[in-house]
Amino acid sequence: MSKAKLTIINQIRRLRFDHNEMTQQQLAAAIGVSRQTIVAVEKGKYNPSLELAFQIAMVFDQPLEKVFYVASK
Amino acid sequence: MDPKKKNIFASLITAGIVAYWMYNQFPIIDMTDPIQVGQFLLKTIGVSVITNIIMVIVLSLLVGIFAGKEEKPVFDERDQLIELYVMRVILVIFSIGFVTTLGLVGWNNLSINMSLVVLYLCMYAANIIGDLLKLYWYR
Repeated sequence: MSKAKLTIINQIRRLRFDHNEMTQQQLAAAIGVSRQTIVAVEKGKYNPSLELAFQIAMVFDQPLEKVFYVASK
Repeated sequence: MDPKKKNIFASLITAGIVAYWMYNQFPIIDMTDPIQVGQFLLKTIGVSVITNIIMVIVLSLLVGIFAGKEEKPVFDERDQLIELYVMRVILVIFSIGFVTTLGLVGWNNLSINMSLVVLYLCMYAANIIGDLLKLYWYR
């Protein structure tokens, strides 16, 4: 099995915009993390745990794969 | 200002104040007397704890005055991860210092009194590096 590092891309910024221009602070408060964590996830500097990823997807009422997906090579 | 950054800054300022305090105390203390060395290290820990509390209060007041409302502190999974990395780095630095001190005691005739001071300084340096790393990861 290949051990190449996966590049995970997220659509949080676009989804926030689509949800009445939700702020990072509002999203952070909705899932109980700091705004800095949302900033880091959005920028791709931090990959959230599975639990946090599901929580983000649930806020936007989207399946997980619509929020996070692996970049095609 | 992020409360986490505020605490890191408070810790770094405390480290500076404690370093100045230690620098002034060194000439007064007889390093050959284990009782004086023990008292000095204990006093240093006390000074650093009290200074840190005062610095956190002072910075909180300053942030409140100049930056307005402070963000509510939230400790999440990313903070836990950063904390874990920092603890690992601190442990590695302290372990290197501990082994080096043992080497100096064993082969370079470093006195036990001085080795206590060196171990304390290792922990002190490791904490400063840990704080700087936190600052880097929270940038």
